[in-house]
Amino acid sequence: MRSRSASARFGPATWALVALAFLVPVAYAVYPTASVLSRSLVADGAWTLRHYRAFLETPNARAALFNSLWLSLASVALAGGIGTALAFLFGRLHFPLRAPLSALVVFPYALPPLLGTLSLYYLLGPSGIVPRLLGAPVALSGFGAVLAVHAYTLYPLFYLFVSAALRSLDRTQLDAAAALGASPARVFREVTLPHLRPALLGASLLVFMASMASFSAPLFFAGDRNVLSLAIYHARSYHDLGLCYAETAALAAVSLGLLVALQALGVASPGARASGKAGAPLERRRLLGAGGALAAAGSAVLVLALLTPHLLIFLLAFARNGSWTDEVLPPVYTLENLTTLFRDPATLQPLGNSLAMAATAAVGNALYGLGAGWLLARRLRRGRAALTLLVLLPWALPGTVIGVALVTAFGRTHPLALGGVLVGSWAILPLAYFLRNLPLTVQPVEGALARLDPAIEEAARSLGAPAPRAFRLVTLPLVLPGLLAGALLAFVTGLGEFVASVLLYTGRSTWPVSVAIYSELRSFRFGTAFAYGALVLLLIGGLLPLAGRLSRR
Amino acid sequence: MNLLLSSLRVSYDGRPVLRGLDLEVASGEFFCLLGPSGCGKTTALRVTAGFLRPDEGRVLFGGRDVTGEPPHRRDVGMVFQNYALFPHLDAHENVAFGLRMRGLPRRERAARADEALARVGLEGLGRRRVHELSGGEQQRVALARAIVVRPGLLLLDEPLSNLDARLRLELRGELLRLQRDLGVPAVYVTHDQEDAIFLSDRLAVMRDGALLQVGTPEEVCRRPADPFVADFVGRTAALQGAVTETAPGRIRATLPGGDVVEATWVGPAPPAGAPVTLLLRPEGIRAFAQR
Repeated sequence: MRSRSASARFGPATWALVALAFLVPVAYAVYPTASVLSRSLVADGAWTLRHYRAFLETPNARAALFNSLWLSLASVALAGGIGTALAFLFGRLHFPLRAPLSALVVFPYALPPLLGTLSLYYLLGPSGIVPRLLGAPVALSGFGAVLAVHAYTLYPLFYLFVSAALRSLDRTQLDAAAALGASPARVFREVTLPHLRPALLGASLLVFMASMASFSAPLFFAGDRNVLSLAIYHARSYHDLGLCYAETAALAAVSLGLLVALQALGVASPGARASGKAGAPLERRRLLGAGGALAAAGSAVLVLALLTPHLLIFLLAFARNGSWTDEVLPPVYTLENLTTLFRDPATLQPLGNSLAMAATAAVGNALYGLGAGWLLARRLRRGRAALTLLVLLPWALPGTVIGVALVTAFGRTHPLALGGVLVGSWAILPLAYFLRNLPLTVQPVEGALARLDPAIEEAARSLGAPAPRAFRLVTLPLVLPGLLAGALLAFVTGLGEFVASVLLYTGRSTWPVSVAIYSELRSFRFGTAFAYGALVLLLIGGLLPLAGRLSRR
Repeated sequence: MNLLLSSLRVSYDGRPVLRGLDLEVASGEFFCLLGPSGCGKTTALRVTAGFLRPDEGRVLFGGRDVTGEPPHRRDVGMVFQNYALFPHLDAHENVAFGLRMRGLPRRERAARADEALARVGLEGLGRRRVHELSGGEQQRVALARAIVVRPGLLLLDEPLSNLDARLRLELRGELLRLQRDLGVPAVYVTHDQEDAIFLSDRLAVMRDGALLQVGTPEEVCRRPADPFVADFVGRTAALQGAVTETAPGRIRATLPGGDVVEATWVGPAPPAGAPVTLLLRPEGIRAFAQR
C-alpha cells in the first residue's frame, strides 16, 4: 500500500518513461503484427477471408499447420519424459560425481538452435558420423529427426522446472502422508505429483511454444515435408504474400494463446528465477558401492553423450573443407578455417557484425529493462498487467512472425523508423534481437526491485540524497547484477539468432554470423561454417557462467 | 527546533487517511503517536519526512514551512521499521552515508561514523556487512545512521517491533538516553502502549486519521478522553507517591498507604521527597508465594 499509493502522481519525466516503455513494444511488435493480420484479411483493396481459405485449401499449407501441432505435442511428451527423468535422477539420488554431472545436464539449452541442429545433422543425420559407423538404419531424418532435435534442445526446460519444484518439496508433507497410511506409490501420486504439476504444466507450455516456433530443425531435417514456420518462409520466398500473411497470423495466434495460458497459470517465463523455498528439504537417497558406481558411470556416459554435439562443433571447425566425403570422421584436419577467418577481413566480418548487433541489442535491452522494470515494480498500478504482457509478447512470438511482421510494417519509409526504411538498414537485426529478448532484462530488474524494501530508497533520501542520486547510489547497485546477467543473456541469444536474421538480413556487408554459417554450409564449406560455430560457442560458453554467477548474487 | 503539523489531510484513492491532523512537538520533546494499525500514524510520519505530500495542510520545522521540500532537504533522521539498511554497504558505510551526502571530507566522515557506532555500542563492528549483524545490531546501526547527521528531528517508525522482548526493553532505554543526550525532538510511531508510556514526554492516541487525545502518559492513563483511548491504553494504574531514595536509573518511592515501590527512572534523578506519579501496568506485577 505504501509504495504504490505515494506514486499516484507522476512527474513529467515519469510520464515520458511510461510512454516510451509502452511505445516500444506497441510500435515494433504489436503494430507490425497487426499490420500482418490486417493484410491477411485484405485482397484487391477489400476485406476478405480469401487468404485463409487458400491456407486451409492448400494441402501443403494445411499439412504444415497439422504437422506443427502434432510435432509440438510430441516434443512436449519426449522432452518432458527425458527432462523429468533426469530431474529425478539428479534430484532424488546421491551418487559419486552427482554435482558436476548435474551442472552439465543443462548444456544443450545453451546451444543456439541453429548450431544444435547442425551438429546433430552431422552426428546423426543421413550421412552423419554415427550412421556411417553403425549403418544407415540408425540415421535420423524427417519428422523423427525434428522431434529428436526438439527433445535434445528443450528437455533442459523440464529438467530446470522439475528440479526447482523437487527442491521446494517439503519432506514433512511426505512424512505426514506416510504417517497417515499412504503407501510410497500413493504418496507419490497424491503429494509429490500435485506439487510438481505447475512446473510440468509451465515447462510443457514453454516447450510447445518453442517447438511451434522451431525453424532450424525442420529446415535441415524435414526435407520437403512442411511445418508452419517453414511454410511461412517458403511462401515469402515465392512471393505468395497473402498465404504468407495468413500463415503468419495463424502462428502468431497459437503463440499468443499459449502466452495467455502461461500468464493465467502464473508460470514465470525466461528471466524469472524459479524460487525454491523449502520447509524441510528432501534428502537424496544415497547410492553406495556398486549401485553408486553404476549410477555414476551411467550418468557420466549419458552426460558425455549429451555433450557430443558441442564437442563435434569444435572437431569440425578443424576439418578441411571438401575433404570429408564418405569417411566416418573427417580425414584431414587443418588450422586453415580459423586462420582464414582471422586473416581475411571479409570472412571475419559476419562475426564482427553479429558482435556489434548483439551488443547494440543488449545495451538496448539493459536500458529498456531498467526503465520498464522500475516502472513495473515501483510506479505502475493500472497499466502493470498490460505492460507485462507487452514485454512478453515479442518474446512469445516466433522469430518467423517477428521477421515477417517487421518486413511488412517497415519495408517502406515510416515515421516509426524516423522517416527512413528499417528493412535493409543495419538497425533491423539489432531491433529484432532486442524485441525477442525484452523480458530477459525487464524481469530481473522488476524482481530485484520487488524484493527490495522501498524504505531503503527512502532512507537514502532522508539522509540527504536527492531521488536520482539515491537511485544511483542505492537502488542501482542492488539491481545491477540481475540487469547485467539479463543483458549478457540477451547478448548471447542475439549472437546465435538465426530465424529472424535469415528473414531480415539484406546485404552481405551486414550478414550476421548465423546467416554466414548457413551460407557457408550451402557452399559445402562446412569447415568454415563450424569454425564460425566454434567461436560463437566459445563466446557463449564464456559468458553464460558469468551471467549465472551474476544472477545468483 | 519544534515541529508543527497543521490541518494535514491525506487520502489514498479517495479514502481519507489523515483528516485534518494538528500536532505540535516541542523542542527536545519525545513524542509518541500511538494507535492501532491503519490509524494513519505512519502516514503522518511519512508526511513529516517528506515521502508523501499532503492533500492539504502544512508541515513546519522550527517555524519554517517545509511542506513542499523534498525529503533530502528536510534534515531529519529516520529509523525505519525494517531498518532499511543498505545491503551492499557495510555498517560503517551505512552510517557514513548521510555524511557523504552532506559532502563532508572522508576523514571527518570516518571519525564521526566511528563515534556514532561507539555511541550505540557497536565499536569494532563497522566492517560487518548488514547480513552479518544480528537484529539488535542492525537496529543499532539504523539508529547510528539516523543520529550521525545530527538531524533537527528524529523520526522513528516502530523501530522496536521486530525485536524480541528482552532486547526491546534494553534498546528502549538506550533510545531514550540517546535522544536526551542529543536534545533533538523525536516522533515515535507505535501501536505498543508500553513503549509509548515508557518513552513519551507526551503522546497522542490516534484513530481513523485523527487524534483522540494528546497529553502526558499520566494524563492519558488517568483521564482517558473516551472509551477507545481507555481501552487502547489499557488498564494502567497511576499512583501518587513521594521519592525516598534514588539510584542510577531507579527510584524508590513511598505510596500514601506507606508501601514502598521501586521503579525505573529516566533522566536526572528527582530529589528525595519530590512527588512522583508511578504508572503501573498489571503485567508488570509479579506475585510470589510466602515462604
